Amino acid sequence: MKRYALLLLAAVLLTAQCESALASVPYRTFTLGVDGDLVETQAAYEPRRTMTRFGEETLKNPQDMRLGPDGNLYIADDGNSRILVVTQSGEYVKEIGSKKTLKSAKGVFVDDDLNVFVADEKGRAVVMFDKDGKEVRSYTKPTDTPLFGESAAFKPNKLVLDKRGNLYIASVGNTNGIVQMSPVGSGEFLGYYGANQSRVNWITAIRQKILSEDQLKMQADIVPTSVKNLTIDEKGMVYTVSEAENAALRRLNVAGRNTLTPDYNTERTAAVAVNSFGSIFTANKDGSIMEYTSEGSTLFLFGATDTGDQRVGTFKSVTGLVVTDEYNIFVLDEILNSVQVLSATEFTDLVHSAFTLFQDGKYAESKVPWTEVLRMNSLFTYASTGLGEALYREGNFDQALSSFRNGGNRKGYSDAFWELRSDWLHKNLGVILIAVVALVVVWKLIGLADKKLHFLAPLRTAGGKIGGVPILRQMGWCFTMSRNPFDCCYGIKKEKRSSVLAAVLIVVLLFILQVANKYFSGFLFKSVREGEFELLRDAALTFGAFLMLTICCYLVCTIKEGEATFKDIFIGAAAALTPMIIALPIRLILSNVLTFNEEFFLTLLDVVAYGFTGVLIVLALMYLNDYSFKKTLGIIVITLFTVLVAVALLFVVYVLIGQLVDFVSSIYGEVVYRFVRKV
Amino acid sequence: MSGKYKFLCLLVALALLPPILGNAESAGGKIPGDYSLAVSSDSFNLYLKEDTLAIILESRKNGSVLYSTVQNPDDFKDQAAWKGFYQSGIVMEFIEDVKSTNTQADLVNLKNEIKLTKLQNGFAADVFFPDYQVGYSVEVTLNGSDLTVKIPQDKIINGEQDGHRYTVSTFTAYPFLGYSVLGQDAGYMIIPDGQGALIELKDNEKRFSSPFDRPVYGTNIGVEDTVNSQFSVGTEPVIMPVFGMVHTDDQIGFLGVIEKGDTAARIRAFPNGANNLSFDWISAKYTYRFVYKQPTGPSSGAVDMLTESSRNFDIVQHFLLADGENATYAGLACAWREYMEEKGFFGVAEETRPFDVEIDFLGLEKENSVTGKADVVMTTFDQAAQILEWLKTDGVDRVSAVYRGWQENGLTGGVPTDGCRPAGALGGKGGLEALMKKCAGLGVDLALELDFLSVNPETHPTLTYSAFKKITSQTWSRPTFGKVYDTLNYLTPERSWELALRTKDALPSQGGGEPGVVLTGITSLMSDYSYQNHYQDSGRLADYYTNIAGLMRNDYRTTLKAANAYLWPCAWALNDLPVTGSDYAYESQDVPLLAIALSGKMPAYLEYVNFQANSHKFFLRLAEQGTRPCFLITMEDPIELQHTNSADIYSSRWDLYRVTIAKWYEQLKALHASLDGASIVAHDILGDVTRVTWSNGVKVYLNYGEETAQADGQTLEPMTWKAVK
Repeated sequence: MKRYALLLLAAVLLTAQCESALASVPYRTFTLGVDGDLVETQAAYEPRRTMTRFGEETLKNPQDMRLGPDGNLYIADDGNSRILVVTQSGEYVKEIGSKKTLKSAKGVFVDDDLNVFVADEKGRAVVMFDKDGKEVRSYTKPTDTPLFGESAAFKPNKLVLDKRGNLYIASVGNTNGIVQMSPVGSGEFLGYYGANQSRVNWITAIRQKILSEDQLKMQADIVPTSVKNLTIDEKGMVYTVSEAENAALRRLNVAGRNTLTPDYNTERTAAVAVNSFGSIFTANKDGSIMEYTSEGSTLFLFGATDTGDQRVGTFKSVTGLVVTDEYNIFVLDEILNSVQVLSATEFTDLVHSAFTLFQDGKYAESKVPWTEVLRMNSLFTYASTGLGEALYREGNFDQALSSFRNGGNRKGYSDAFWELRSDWLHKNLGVILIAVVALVVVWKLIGLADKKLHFLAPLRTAGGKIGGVPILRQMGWCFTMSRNPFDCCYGIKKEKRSSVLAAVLIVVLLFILQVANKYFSGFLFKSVREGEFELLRDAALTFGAFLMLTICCYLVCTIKEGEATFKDIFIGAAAALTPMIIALPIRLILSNVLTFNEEFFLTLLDVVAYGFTGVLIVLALMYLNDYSFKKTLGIIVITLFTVLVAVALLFVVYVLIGQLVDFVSSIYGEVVYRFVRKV
Repeated sequence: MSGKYKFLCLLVALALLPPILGNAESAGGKIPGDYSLAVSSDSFNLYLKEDTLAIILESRKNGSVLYSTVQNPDDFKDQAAWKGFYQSGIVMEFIEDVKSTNTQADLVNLKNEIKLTKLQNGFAADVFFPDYQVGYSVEVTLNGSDLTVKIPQDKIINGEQDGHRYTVSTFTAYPFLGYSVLGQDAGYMIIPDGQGALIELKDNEKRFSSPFDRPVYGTNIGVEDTVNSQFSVGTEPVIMPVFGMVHTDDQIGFLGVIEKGDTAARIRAFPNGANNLSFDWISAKYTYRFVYKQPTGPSSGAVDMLTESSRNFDIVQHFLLADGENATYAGLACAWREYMEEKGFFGVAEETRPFDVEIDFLGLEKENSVTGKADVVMTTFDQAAQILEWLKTDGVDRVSAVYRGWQENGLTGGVPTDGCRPAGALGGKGGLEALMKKCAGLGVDLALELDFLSVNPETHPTLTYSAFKKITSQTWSRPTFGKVYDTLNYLTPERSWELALRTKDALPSQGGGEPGVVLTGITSLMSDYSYQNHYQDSGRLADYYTNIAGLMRNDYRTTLKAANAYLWPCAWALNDLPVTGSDYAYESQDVPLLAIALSGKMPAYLEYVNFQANSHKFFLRLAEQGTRPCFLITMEDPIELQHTNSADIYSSRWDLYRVTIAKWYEQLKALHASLDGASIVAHDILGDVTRVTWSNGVKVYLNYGEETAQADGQTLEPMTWKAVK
């Protein structure tokens, strides 16, 4: 593998062996960026040619395509009920089957002995031909076992064969899974394999509780999606694709368990292919082609739909996909009745060679190609991560940190940061300890000296004056909520020791701290995408939510015989938020110095801050309204429901006004164009 | 003349006589009886069929002919409308009231009156359709190898009859000239896709259902809805108003060149099978007026409306004819070059500009921050000066430098260009002037990129009142798919002109060097629009843009970016030329028609090297075409741009391109030194090898293949090139 990669790299860097023309590419190519979003990159594959005629033969509604061990393409030419065998350059080799032997040809597979298996959906059978095209046997619906299911359909659509000769058949309308049959006799049914899961969300769960069995059968999204296409690699792992995004691509082990979680999926996936390097390719119906690494990481996304421009490299309805070890991609289209050939560009060859070294653990050797990839594309995250790994292993943590950050690799960043922090602490721990001790000693000495000389008296006086400023005093009262909620509420309600302005300032302070935490947390713990700022939305959410909740709570309380005024509830709610104001600055600092190894501290801080705030809200409502605990909880639930209703009402009013405006302006426009401007 | 020479002349005459006689006979067989000779030039005979204005062009050199109408229409079972279309010389369409489908006024199906006048070098005809009271005049002349068709606008008659209004809509002149049937002739059609592409004449077995049908100078955004997709790459716009047909077996062909009416034309090439026709044919279609949907409300309701006025243009279309060995795409490109030279297209072009490399610096971009927008400084003026010095030390002694994103708010925030306000973060006005002085000292031509078209509605909210409106009076905008600014608007041509006037006076002097500008945006737009609630035609837009380019040309070395052909007379150089076409399925191959036509006359730079996935092939293409490379360079790593609207710039860091620039410059400079300002005279594709012949006798061989190849005794390693004198 290593030799191959080095040879490939040498070829790319030195001699640049390429195909002839400089092709135009009708699609953009993307890779995954730092935050999992798509970023553009150089064309990974460019269209080379379109094959529509093979000798004198043409395709009619082709449905599947495989690469045979002999290097030829085997095309399930469904419209002509045959398998058309052609070379990779489009020369006719032979055809297998005919309308006499096959009713349809939806899927095809070729084993190592060049036996050809055809999924004949209309004939409800898998038909086996030998390498000379002679029909050997056919496999039909298993009838000798109740396990298959009497009502289960056997309409073979796609199939693969493992090294032991076991057939894996995707049957149309059979959602139990892939039909697994042994080659013994006319095919012994071995069981169902790797069924897709249905989507279970909370609506589905409720439906399952209340609907009858018959009603449930009519719910389309409760039935798992059936497998659209499948392939098998040299290790016997079966790859399946489905139209639903949640099962777009799966890799099933012998037990039928999924071992792959792709980081990006497309809908309507229709075909899948793997090559011997473990690269996985999928194509969806509309022509979007994806290349994944063997770990399921998205390397490239490209392809475009033919919108009528008839451009090479665009597709109308993809049904088959083949990828060779030279990274030539063959795409079968059932509407265009063509096989389009795409080939890797110089850039992609470079990426593959680097990846091969990287996956083999040859991090140091992959440094050169990754650097070259980054020269061509600074935003290529895999190259940054690859380079980061190489640098990390060299002990160059500083540059590794930068590379991991560019690559969006948080785990690598955490490790490199841990090393750097450890180095820094190692070098500076003594100085820090001395500084801390010195500070404590100086503080004590100043305290002792002040007792005798009182030289800090002016400062204390100034502090007292500042503390005496009414608004600060009122804000300070709110902070007593954390220590003594009952006293605080009593002060708010009876003694008017705080004010609405103080409450507003506390909410503003909370907003500022939230914004700081959201946008300036350390890279490892940041929850928003880099470069995205939504201050208006944040403000609307914080202030809007606070206002809406306090108003609704007040309305509910007035009905439920609460004693609190709106002012009391407003100030009380703000006071209950003070634990957050204390916790958020600490969180901000910690997020910039901790690594994933110490993440627990942040989680603990969040739990304490949010939990304490929640408790204070309940207590504030209790004390301010003179409610029991149970009644307070009820008030909170009703308040939340009121907020929901209010939001829904506002939305309905907004839509109605929009439609009214639309209606009036349409009338006006029609009058103007029909009568004033006289069409 | 001595007796010996007389004898030799006699022998030569005798030797030539039989073929001439033979051609005459065969030509006689090719010209049907209902055609009569209208005029002869020294190269071609023009025959006319008076009742349909159909013509036949006959080469006097080899007797080959080009028919303008289908000769055996009864052999084809097409609809009457199509039959009328392909049997008429000129086809007009008109609109009845505000019907959305046009009525075809061909010279076969519709009752017509033709008044024919013989001209010294052709003929003129007044055509009238009495049932609809519509008509036009056409003048067809043949001068040497140039067949010219003119339809003056002031002779077009719109009619009224029985309470109906008939408005002339479109014209097509000799659409079937040189047509072919199901690959019966060997040859190709030439379409203006990218730098030019060929559609081979062969039986397509109905594989292609629709034709090549593209507006000249790009999509008319004021009329047509544009599809904005983040994933697909749009088709290449047509920047040159040419099309052609070549019969390689008969060695005859033409290049259609639109002289007037280009702003309202579409080029249409029909490979056989498209629209269920059996013919390959290519033509230009001109539209004066049309019916469009006028929305009456923001989201629903629309009425059909006829454009308020007619587009203002005469139709003048040339067919540059070629026969013999000149009947190739390269020969026709050479003829087009001569035509353009004669018409003044290269009036200010720097024909003698020595070979150089274009370095585009990106100065400033913007990204979001907590407090609003923050600067992302990519290359300061000082850094640009430093890079240019380094290039000099690397041996890159001729550079055309272009500064992009030099204004306040940067590349995408700083549009449109309005006066001269260099970004303070880059060094401000002082920094720019210092850079200009430095460039003058280094012998570098520095140009500032000016965009008078695009307007960022966030940074220039007041300018949105002057935003470009579609003919429906809706403001045109498009999504940017960027992270900072969501949408982009265009300015009206009237407002663009005002900004150009203001900017011209504000630009700083070059500090001793020759000042330069690069115009972008306006150079590649052609559209109708609405101004002050009235329809304005694309010709008016073109006039404004010509004036802007002319204004800049007077005082500055003006480079035009991806420019439409009508602006070339204002260009000192052209840049951002496409390297490939759109790769339509019916195309058989790309050809450098544009590069051949510009060679030796106009300095031309191709699109950026940075974003090519196959840089080795791209380099070969530069060597093949004699065009020049262009690099986008930043001092900082482009990863800094990932949160800006320029996130698509993923490769530009100077220190990673330094070696490549020096290496490419050295190799291409040596090639251009041997070319010495010559032009391309022939271009041949011999399998994997391409041979380019220049007018000074230099031949450049390029092997695009994977194997070692031989041509004319030259051995070429894979992906290499060689210049031979």
